[in-house]
Amino acid sequence: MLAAVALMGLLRFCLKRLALLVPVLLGVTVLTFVIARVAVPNPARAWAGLKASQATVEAIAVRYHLHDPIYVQYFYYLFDLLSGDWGTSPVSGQPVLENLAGYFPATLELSIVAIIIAAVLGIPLGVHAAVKQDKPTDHVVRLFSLGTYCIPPFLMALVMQLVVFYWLRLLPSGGRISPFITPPRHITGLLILDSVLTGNLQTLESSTVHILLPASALALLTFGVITRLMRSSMLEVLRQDYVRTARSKGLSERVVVFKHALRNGLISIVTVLALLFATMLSGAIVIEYIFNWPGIGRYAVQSILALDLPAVMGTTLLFALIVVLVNLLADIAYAVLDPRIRLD
Amino acid sequence: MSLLERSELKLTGKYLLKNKLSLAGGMVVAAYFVLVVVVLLSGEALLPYDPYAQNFGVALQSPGLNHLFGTDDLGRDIFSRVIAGVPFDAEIAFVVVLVSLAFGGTVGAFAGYLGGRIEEIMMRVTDIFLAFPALVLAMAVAIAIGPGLTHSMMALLVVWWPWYARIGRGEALSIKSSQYIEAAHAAGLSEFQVVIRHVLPNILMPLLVYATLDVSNVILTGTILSFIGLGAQPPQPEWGRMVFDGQDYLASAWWMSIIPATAIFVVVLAFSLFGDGLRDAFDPRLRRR
Amino acid sequence: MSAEVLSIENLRLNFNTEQGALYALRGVDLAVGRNEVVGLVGESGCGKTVLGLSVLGLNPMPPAQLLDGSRILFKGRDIAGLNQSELTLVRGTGISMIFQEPMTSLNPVFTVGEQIAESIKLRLQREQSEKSRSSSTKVGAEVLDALRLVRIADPQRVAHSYPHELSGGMKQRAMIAMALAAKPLVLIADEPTTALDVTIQAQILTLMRGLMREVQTSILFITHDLGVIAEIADRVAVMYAGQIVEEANVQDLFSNPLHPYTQGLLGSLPKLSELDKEIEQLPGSVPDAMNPPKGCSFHPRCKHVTDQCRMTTPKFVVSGSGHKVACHLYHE
Repeated sequence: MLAAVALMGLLRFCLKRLALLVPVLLGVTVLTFVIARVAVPNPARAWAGLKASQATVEAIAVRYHLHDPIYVQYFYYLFDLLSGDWGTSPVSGQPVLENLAGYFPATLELSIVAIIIAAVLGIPLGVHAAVKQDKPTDHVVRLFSLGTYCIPPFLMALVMQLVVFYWLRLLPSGGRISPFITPPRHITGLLILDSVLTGNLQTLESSTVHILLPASALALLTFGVITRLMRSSMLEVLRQDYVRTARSKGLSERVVVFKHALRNGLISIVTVLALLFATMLSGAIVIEYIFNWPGIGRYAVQSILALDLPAVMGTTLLFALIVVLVNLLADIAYAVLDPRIRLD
Repeated sequence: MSLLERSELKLTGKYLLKNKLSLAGGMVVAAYFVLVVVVLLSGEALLPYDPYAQNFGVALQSPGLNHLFGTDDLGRDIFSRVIAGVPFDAEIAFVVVLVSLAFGGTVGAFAGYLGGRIEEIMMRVTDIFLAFPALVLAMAVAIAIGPGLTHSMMALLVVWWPWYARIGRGEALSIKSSQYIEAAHAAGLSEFQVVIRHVLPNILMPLLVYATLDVSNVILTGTILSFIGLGAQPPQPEWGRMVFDGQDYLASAWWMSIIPATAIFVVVLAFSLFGDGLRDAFDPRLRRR
Repeated sequence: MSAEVLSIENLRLNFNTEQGALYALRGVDLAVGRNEVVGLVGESGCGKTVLGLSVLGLNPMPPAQLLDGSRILFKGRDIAGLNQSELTLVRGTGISMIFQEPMTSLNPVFTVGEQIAESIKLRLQREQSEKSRSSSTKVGAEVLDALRLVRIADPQRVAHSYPHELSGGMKQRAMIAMALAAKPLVLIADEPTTALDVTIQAQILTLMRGLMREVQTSILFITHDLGVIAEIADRVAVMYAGQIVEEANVQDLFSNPLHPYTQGLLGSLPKLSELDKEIEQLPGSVPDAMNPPKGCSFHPRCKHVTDQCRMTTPKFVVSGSGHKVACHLYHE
């Protein structure tokens, strides 16, 4: 009974937040429109492809209303987006949205695994550094987390590829699964999940082994931020009165830190994790390209190298949508974790 | 400089000295500055080899006495190219950060100080820009306006100013109710004058501290842009581009990619350590420890 | 003495800061007897909160340092020198504490019931020598009992509430319930009513007085408010600059204050019966904890000061009714 009421409140909260997003989303489309049609010196040529004939260029200009005034163009642009027409890639010949949908699960899977690894590394390290504040361990952890954030993504990826793949032959590099195995039946598009759902041990092993290298590279780039934030968050929480109360009750230090303090410490970190996600997406672009991981990051790089403007713009828009969505999820998670928020 | 400011600086100096890592970072940053100036002034005169000279006879040689960092697939000396490439990223970083700071910081300060509708609008606009990961938006702008170093600088400027607008607003908000602002009002200054003469100078310091840390981010993003071909064009010896060119030879000549990539790492790390220490030094709460 | 549950002897505690050592407690002797309420009164900065925290070792130990010779006797053991893990076993087992700010002293992400249940589960665990799993219904029933004990009308609702959903008075009752759920012999109450409205204050004090009789727990009641002391304490100790300067049962202290500081404190209270009299003020201010005055710490502000006061620290002098005072004005 109480649970149902709480759920209703949460739903109302979600809907309210979603409503606030609409202007931002519209603004995002405006910005991509400006870049895609206004900032480009010759939009018709760019959208038709560099090798297209003059006839094709003209056809493209008509299709996208490029001779019409700007605001008319924008409305057609928005309409196209909402009806699923995100342009056609002159390089692949396919609709951009189709390409993106095809490559998206790979990036999703990579990001999820990377965040898990980063959290598993970063959260305990951050808690440890906070508990041992100012002792040598703390300084080492702080330096390490700062340092890894400074590593250029391509350095991280290339070094790992060089050492783990070329020299040590420990893990494969390239592709999501061994080319000699049939992938599992497509349910979600996430190979590891699909392998588990279909009980396919062989593909489970292969897909896990293939994701490890790129996911670790991505995780190592970003876990430092989690560590530093967890540390400062915990330091703040450990100073609070309720931690003192918990200690006064005779609870062991472990319970005090991991039950009373951590739950509060995690709350403030959730929203920053969303910001971190945006950084991780940027890192994924380079990582996917170097490890030949068939996700939207690699698609973005290949499109740039091929000067495929529709594909790049589509990918850009998708990235923005993902960031906005993740921020919304973080807000919701915040509301779930902190009982004070729901009384909105 | 007032007495208070002088003692503030002394405390800052003392704190920075205590933090040896930041100091090390600061020294590398200083060395980097010097290097930039030297390379810009002396051109290729001080380099052991011509960074553009191809020599297939010595292609793909591993680092050694003749070629400190080895040679690339066209026989060019990597050490000379790395040094020659120093100004590229430096130029991008400084121009982008300083212009973003000036423009974004001012816009943000006005928005934060004036409040109301103007602030709302600015927040929405920056929200929109910040919805895009920096690299992604820069890529989109860069591909739209075409490749090249200047164009990538422009793309980065478009992407970077909103961060400074946000910070400028925050800082302006926090000093909005300060006494000297009230005094300026009482003295009859217009809003515009108050912002220019009192708000901006006082938010400059936190903006600069943030900017020092931010140089790292700009360099990282800028080199990635070059990596994917949107920045400096070959045969310019820009570090990001060099990493890209060396990818195919990773297994046989790892130094082609790894060395310029490490150079980027060192510079980025130096700015981060220095900026981190600078930020701690200016944070009044941390100084007491 | 056998009637004492808690005995603090020669407690000396410093805070080591970058600028030097802060002498927070300079040789405190205090005893709490069975079923009695001992009031500890003093201005802010005199060290009374530090003393309360010291019993359970809750002062953050890197800056805080307990000096040799300090003893805190509880259940026949000296718990003063114990390390943090040993202290964990003492806390919640015989000594409980409640704090000044109920707003921030309860964990905002757990319900009140959950937090009270923690104390109960811990107590049950320690009472039974093996780790037998106390049934959740049993614990739940005890939680409701604990809330009823502090006169909360709707214990079910409050148990399922989060701290921010309750008023200040309710939160403090919940804190008391939580502390008493551990069935302590001594309850240390650090300014529990200071953050509350005056009317709520009165309610809580009445509650605590009633509870004391019901559950047979002694209370060490720390406060700066003499009015509160008059209402709740059996015996009072007056603290100044890290030392106890006077100690007596509550009637004796109020009717016959001996130490000049106590007299000043009482004199500065406005009394209805003396409306036209000027309020006395204690001249000067609380001494710097890093540089306490030599001799008697009160001498810079005392109107009866003599050379002896400036040189030697006065020792305690006890009268027949147990009225102790540390002042050179009085002799055995």
